[in-house]
Amino acid sequence: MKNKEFATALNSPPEGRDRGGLSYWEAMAERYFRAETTEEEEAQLCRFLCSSQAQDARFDEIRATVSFLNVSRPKSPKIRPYVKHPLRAVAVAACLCIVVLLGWYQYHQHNISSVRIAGETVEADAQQLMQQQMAEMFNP
Amino acid sequence: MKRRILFLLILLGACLGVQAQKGLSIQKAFDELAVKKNVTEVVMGPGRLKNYNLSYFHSLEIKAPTAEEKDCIETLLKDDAAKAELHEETAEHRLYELPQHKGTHYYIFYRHSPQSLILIYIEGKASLKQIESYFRKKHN
Repeated sequence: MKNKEFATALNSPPEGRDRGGLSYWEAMAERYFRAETTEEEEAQLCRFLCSSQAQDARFDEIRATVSFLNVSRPKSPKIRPYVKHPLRAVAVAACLCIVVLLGWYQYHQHNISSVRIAGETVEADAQQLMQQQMAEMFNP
Repeated sequence: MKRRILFLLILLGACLGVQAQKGLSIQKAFDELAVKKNVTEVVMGPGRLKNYNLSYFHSLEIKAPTAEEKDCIETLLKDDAAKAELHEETAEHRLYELPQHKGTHYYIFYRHSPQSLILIYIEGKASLKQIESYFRKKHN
């Protein structure tokens, strides 16, 4: 018998004979801690730990470990959406757009200096025109 | 959400606040006559009027005004004159000072001759004496 097979045979409980006995589950618990159990065995172990048979102090450690891992392990990986509330994001974006537009409008109004002839904007010195027009008001 | 709506309303209010001469009858003249061929319109914001202690300047100058244009403006002026606190009226020249608001003065100037018609709307902290002295000093 090869070493590996020997070790498996030594660690595994005899099939059929002692299965269901506490020593079988004790051995499986030890193998669980050594990370030698298969997924199917781990499922069996979980089911056993929930049974009345497992309410023994010997299984406290394995019960605590399995319970903890079952609780802490996510059932399915949660994909966090990039935007949690799309409508809210749209509303915030719209608000920002309005703020930017209003800011631009205010800036434009603050610094406006335009001369229009027949409704068409022309390149002219608005300040000079203002001075001329005001002068006509006060210096007839 | 309510806060956002309130914020937007405040911004909109601020925006509407800069809509100068809104609520005055002469607004109609600025809107309708500015696109005519013989009309020059000048608009200046507070950024360009710091030296004059003014915050808004809007004028219309109509070269060789028709009787219709003159009547239109004078009718509108009559409406605004009713709201004015100070009137100075001669055959060719008119000046109205509208009620102050938070230390801001509002003036309407009007001058008519066969060659040209000038309508000016001004807002700012400057008193009439300050405006007069400035423009007289500059151009006499």
